[in-house]
Amino acid sequence: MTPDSAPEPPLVATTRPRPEQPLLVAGPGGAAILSADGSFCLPWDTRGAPLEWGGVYAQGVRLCGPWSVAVGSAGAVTPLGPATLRSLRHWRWGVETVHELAGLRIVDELFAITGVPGVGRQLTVARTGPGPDEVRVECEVPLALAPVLIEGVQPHDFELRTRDTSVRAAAHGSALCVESEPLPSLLAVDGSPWIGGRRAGPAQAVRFAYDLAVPAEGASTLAWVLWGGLESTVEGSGRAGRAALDSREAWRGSASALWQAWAASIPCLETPDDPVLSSGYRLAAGALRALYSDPEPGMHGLVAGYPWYSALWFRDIGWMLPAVLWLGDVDRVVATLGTAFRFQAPRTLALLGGTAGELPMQLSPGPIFLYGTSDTTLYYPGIVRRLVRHTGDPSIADPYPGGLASILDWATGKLDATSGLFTNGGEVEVMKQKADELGRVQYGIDAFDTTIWDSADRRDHAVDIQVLWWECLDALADLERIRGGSRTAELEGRAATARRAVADRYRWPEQRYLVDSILRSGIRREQVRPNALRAVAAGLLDDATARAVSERADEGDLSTAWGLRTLSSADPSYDPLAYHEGQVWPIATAWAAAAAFRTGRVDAGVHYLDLLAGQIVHENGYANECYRGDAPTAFDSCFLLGFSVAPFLTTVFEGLWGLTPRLHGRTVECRPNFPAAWRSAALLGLKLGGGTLDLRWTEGEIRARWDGPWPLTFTGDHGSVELAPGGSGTLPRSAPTPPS
Amino acid sequence: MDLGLLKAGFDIGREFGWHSLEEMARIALYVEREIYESGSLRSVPGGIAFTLRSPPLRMGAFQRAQLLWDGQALDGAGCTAHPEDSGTPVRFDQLSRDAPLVLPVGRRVEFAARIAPAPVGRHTIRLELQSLAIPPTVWMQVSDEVRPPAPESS
Repeated sequence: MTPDSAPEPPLVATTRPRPEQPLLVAGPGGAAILSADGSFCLPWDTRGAPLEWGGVYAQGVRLCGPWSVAVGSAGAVTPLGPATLRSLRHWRWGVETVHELAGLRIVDELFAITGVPGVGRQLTVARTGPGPDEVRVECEVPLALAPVLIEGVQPHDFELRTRDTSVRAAAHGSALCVESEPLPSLLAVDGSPWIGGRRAGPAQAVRFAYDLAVPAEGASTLAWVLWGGLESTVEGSGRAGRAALDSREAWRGSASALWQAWAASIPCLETPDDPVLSSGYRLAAGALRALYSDPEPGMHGLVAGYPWYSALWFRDIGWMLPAVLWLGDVDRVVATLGTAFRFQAPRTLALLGGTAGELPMQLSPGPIFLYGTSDTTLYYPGIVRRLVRHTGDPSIADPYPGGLASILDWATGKLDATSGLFTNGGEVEVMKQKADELGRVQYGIDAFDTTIWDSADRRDHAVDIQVLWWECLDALADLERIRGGSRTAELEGRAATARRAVADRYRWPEQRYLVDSILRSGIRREQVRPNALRAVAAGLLDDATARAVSERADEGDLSTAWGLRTLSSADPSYDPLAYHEGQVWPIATAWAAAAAFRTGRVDAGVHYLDLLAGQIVHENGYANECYRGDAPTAFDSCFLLGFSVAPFLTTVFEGLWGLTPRLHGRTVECRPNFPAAWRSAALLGLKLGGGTLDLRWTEGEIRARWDGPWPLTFTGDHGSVELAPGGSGTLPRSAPTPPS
Repeated sequence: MDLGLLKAGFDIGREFGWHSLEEMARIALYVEREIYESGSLRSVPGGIAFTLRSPPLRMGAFQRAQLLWDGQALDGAGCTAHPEDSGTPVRFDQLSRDAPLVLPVGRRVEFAARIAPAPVGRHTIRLELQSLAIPPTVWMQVSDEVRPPAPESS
């Protein structure tokens, strides 16, 4: 591993242990989580307590805890960790640590691999001084086999087996497999020697010992593949683990090449007057890419986040796919949509909280899936519309008419008969009742509502849910128009009604804002939450109201120096530690940016984007889920969440650059929002409609170059320019935006 | 046999494959077995005790805990939780935001409650917990037979 071979500079490079810095190495089916302290541990604040998250994850299962390695002589091994660490470098595709101890230099490399869901690890041991011919290496794999969808639950009893060259552990249908080269000379379970074969019962960890011959000159290597997930995957994959191990010479090259190719394919943002923004953009794009996941054949998407949301959550995916499209990964979007619609409920599935037409919220290999949210399904007509607009290919929506019609039926069934408002809350009640009938032991969480802030009670008609409902109808109307269907006018009419409901019924003049929700009784929940900004960003309010709402959100009760709170600090329910009742969420900050751009408040929009970019840079390419409401400290926060990077990216394209693709009409609109202090900006390599668009802005002038299969109309506020394939053009000049 | 449940299961199997149904049943059994330790409700001097093998659907720090015995809330001063590998049992009435009960992933916790006279027969216990970070109450409820105290080893 040399710096020259890296696709980018390391995300993290250090010569001292940094236990507070999480590291994620993720491949299509598996991932490793550790910290930058040279061990495999990551103690991380979780629901208010420091819990341990180091380990290997695959197929929605935490396979093991911190996978430690110790080196020395038999009976006197030293664990690799902070005390032995001399240097560490981390790229998205791997981690390399260098350790020194007692006359030995050890290079420990960890890679994302393909072929099996898991990771590869290679230890290279070289002498730096005299010592015995053989070096003892011991590694310990703490057993976990905990499905990540079930929070906090982990088995205590395991079936352990040796088979061929592997050691396997299984519990409740999950399994892990360890292959190594050379083979271990000793095995132990919880400190007691184990000769192999089959062993069942309580167990905590398996220890592997190796006696490695290390020449006086030169080095010896030891390599492992640790993989697994579903027991059926492990049992059905024959010698796949061994094959993955046998290809270890290619691990580094394949992992880095994959990232290098991807990094070269995404649009490049240049903001010379605001370098942190372009740095944050590049890191956020990489972070989003690290969430791509294909946990089993035919199942595609993006993991919601790490460490404890490492499954497919389709609400989160609904926020991520627009950014994935802007990055040019159309295939990922198509495959993910295919997965989402494959699990659309064909009828009421009470056991899973689903009603006909609903898309799943959670999905893990098995498949194991659950429904029961008010909002997840509403995102997807908009995603299909975006796909058509980005690709210019209306036929790309052909697989979805039936699914979209079912979504409309499902959503129509959730309209309140009296008010016509979309209803949220109570979606999982039936599932709870059914589950109570099933088990001898009952469990539950008294969460009544299922909006994006699902631990807050925002029944019955939350404002952002009405915005989503409008967006759903607007997208369906557009798609109907594009395909020449007969229901366009009807859908447009319904969208207009939904739009009026938001604009008229949620106004809160005393606060120059929108109320957060309305009860069925008509009583308004007068709470200041960032969710109202969604109505501004969607363009559902008149200009004056929209601007007032956007400005109100800047005030200190909602806005902090580290982002927007989920609830005003002046609200009686405010709690700075509560997940959705006061903590600061980057996704809410991105909503503030989008609303500010929409209302022409350019400096405010860029301020919020800079804030998010600064956090991503500060966190070395990771992006916390949430922070305390009273201090810029992550609390009960996944260290990387798709919510925290994707809306930021989307707002760069759609808010800052003001881009709206309509490639099905061979048009791209561009109404950028650059601060008056800026002199130039560029967005190069934008993939649209099978072509590439380069944009260069200099003081009010936008020059575009189009490399695509057909002519393109490029439209701005002051006119349009026709771009022939391979041609360039300049949009008419506009005045610089005055400070807002 | 609840035919409604049977039909619900049949629908899932038919639409998404029987393997899916099998996997979901596996998860349901997993939750059933790996949280409440079956048969752990037992008499102890002055009351009862039971064991959780893992936290009930929420991990981390809890600022409030309550135990209900046959629907009646017990005095927090008489209820304790003792996570394995931790020092001493924690009394429910001493829990607070600054001194929460920490339930790590996959770790046994011994719960005990003062109940007089010592109960026998089948009873329902309900444990309610409030997370420091996520307000909605998390609960677990089980009906089980109270076992006699374990014989003391000589």
